[in-house]
Amino acid sequence: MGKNARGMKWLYGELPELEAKEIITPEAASKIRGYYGEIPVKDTRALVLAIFSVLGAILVGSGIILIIAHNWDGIPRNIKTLLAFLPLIISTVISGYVLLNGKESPAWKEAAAVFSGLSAAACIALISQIYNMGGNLHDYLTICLLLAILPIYVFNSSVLAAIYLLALIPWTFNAPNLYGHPDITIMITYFAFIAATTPHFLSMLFNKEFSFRYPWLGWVRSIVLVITIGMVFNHLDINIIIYSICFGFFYIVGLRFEDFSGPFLKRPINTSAILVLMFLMYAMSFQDFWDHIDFDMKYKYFLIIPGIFFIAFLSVSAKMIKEKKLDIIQSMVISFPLAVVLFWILILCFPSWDILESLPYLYFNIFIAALGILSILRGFRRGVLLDMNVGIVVLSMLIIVRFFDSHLSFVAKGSVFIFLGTASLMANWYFCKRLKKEKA
Amino acid sequence: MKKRLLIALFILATLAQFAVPSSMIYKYETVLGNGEVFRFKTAPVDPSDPFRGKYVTLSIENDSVKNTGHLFSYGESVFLVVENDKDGFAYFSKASKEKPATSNYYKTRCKWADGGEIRVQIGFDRYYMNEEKAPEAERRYNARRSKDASPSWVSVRILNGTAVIEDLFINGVSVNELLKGTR
Repeated sequence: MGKNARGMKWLYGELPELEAKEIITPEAASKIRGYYGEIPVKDTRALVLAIFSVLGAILVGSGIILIIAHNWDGIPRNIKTLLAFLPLIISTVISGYVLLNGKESPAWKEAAAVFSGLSAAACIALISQIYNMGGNLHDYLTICLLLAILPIYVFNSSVLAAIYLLALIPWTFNAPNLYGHPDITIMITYFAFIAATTPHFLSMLFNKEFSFRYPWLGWVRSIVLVITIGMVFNHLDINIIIYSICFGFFYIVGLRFEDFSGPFLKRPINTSAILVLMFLMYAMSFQDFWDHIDFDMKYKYFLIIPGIFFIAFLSVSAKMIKEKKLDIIQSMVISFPLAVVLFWILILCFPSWDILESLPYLYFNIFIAALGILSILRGFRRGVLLDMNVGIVVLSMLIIVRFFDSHLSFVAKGSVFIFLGTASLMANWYFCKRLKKEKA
Repeated sequence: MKKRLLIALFILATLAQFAVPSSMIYKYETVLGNGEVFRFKTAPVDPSDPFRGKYVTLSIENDSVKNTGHLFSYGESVFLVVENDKDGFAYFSKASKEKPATSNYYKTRCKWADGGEIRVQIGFDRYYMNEEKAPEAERRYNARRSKDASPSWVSVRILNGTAVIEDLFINGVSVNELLKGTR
């Protein structure tokens, strides 16, 4: 269980008064203190130090690179080549010092890792400059990413892991498959690169280290995945399957392992997956979407990695269902990737079935409506205002997006919006009134 | 135990970080020492790279080759045989998917292809210069181009698929000679 410092501070502040008024005995108060222990102190100095150390490492590294990039004419090539190694030599000395002297502070470790990763990238860039090598960013980044993997683990560096993940964006956007044909090597390399940083991230998740590092690295990771996964499957028309399966898997993993006692921003895997899945649900509620399902079976090998994700998704989901850890709404969300895969297979296998022209479209409209209604009902039943409003938003969004493919007049659309808004306000008013009544 | 493992990983990481640029240097020096010289007609234009500094982009004239029946797609590897024309300038005489028998070939990627022609990515399209000299090189090229008929070219050494630039000649004069005295 994660320690809630604010809650503990409030509780410890209340204890003397509770003791004085004899609501609890001094023994009970002492037991409470013993159970929760010391109030965790947020060491902001360490955080500030880490941030400035990393910034310092980046600035010093970049400065050295820019000085060498000046391209000193008078210096012979062999001396320039030696100078190109200068940032790398300095970073090796610093990193070695940090490692051998057992410097445990995140500031030292993060700075050493970032300096090490960037100086290797800089050295290669400078060698390319000295020998006038042209710029193929994709190939250059491939080498830089490979060289950055080990320093992430040696220094347990989340900053270098984040830089590494962000570098995957230009890597995918400059890959040869972007304007050409699907390339299975690009896809395998991409997932290998993602997998290379996964143990660093998972170690934080499994060890329940939900501190500052976990959420922001998780968000960087999720955003990079959202941007890049589709790019490696370019020209295959299976992005919707890939995103549904992968983010379905992330949803269930987040649900199982992330800390749900804190705010939703602190559980990046689950929250980002919910956002992506909701977006996909609305996309699939359009008739047009299902008119363009196609797949060339000569690219079937591209389905191997999504297949692995799907099996993993099914296994974790089955375990959660068996342990009865899912409520009705969570069960519905995990049924979504299953429905997408099922409809996709049916449409590809039986293209002549007329019913498949409108069945998926109808299914996902009913599915979203049911999701919204269930959320509203749960909000009412449990007395949770947020759940009720999430349900109202889900339902309203469905009605709003349906207007995009309807031919109703503006007056009719406007009237429905007014009705929706009024219904939402009324529901909230009624809900608050009921809560007051219950309290009284 | 954990520290030993970390030190071993650190040594491995450091070796890799030094080995990659060192192997690049070895490869390029081998090409510069043993490769054959080819002159590619070009036009220099001056852009810059935020980290690697100023350079002139070389717009190589002969960046395509007649398609001899192979079907190439964007980004696919292509082996190009390099030969000289009657004026002593280089051109790509043949494109293939397999390594040619000669050492005078250049390995790159296909940029665009149709039934009759393949356009390729040229890796030796940058000549790095001092930040004051790069724009000056472009200016000199543009100023003298109309009245002076002598061509501009880049001399490149090629060996077993790799090409390394040796020198850039603007209007027939080495760029270093031409810009001597420019600060």
